[in-house]
Amino acid sequence: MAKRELEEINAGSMADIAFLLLIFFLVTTTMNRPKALERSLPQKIENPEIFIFNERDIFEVLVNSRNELLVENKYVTIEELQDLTKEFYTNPKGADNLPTLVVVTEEKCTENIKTLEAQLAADPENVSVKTKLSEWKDKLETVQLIGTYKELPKVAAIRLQSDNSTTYDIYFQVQNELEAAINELRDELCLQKFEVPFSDLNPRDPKDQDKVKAIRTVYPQRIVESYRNVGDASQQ
Amino acid sequence: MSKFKDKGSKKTPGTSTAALPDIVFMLLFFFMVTTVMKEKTAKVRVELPKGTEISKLSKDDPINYVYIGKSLTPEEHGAGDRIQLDDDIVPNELAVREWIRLKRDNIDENKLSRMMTNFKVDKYAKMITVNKVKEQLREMEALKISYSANEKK
Repeated sequence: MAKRELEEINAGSMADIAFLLLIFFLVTTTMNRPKALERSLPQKIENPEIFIFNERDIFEVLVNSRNELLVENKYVTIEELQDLTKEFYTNPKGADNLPTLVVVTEEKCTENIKTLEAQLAADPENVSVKTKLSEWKDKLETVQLIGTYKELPKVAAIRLQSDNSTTYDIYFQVQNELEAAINELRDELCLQKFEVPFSDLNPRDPKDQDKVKAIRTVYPQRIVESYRNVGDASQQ
Repeated sequence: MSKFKDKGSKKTPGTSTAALPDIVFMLLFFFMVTTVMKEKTAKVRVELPKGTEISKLSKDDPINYVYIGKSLTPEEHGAGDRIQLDDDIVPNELAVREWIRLKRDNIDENKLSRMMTNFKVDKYAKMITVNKVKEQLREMEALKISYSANEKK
């Protein structure tokens, strides 16, 4: 039989196909990936545990129906919020209307872990002891990584209340400023201890995970939202 | 001399288009890599607020989009803030439950914990609508949320 040469496939229409695909992707996709502020909602609990807290441990942020901002019972502007939040977190002057920070040392952690472990050995089913133990273990890890630090009281939190007719814009701005304050504090600490800004650490990278956890332990993001209608503060 | 041929008799060869598919494919891959699929088209008017602390959402996490704003067709859906889940404007916030349930059924088991609800809310919308939706999400234990915004210049 005669040798037959294989005919080449005509690739002339390849360009057309590729163009078609290209145009499809140009139309259905967008260049800028959406950016957003991440938050998590509190879990729904049937019988909430009642915390006894001091007024000084709560950073009260209210936004009323006229989009006015009331922080710790004072009218403030949105620009002031960031500094006030940072002050709440650090209490640099030891003011008595802000939370009292407690110094956490390694000895204190090991001591507490020891007593808690002894308690757990006596009563292995005790959930509150278990959670306390894991909290102190986290603290110990933090201390080992960044040294002694000042800790916010466990109940200290930012309480954000908005009115039903507050506009979303101001609510978002408040969230943004709170986030900015926390991020700035974390950045400062991170630069000081690890010489990189916090935003450069990747929480999914096992190499950075411990650092991220430590920084988050020092400056936790505790924003509590309540849906009670604020009403118009000035009418009271 | 035969070295000097008559130039007039020679035609210019046509430009080869053999490399064209390669070029177009390169462009195609560039766009496939750098862009993301458009999410749903908004049927409510949404002008996002501006923020400084926003970050890009992870590309491979399942994200559900909630739009809140005034309807673009008020004669059909009524005035006031409306809730749009994916492509449809829903009559009230209770539809969120069924929607989340459906979403959960349709995604991978191992991605369930990373499912996030993204709020695209008009800056002039009232908080009451947003809070109602958030309350329903809490009922459904879909606790991861995020608020979309534009970068402040």
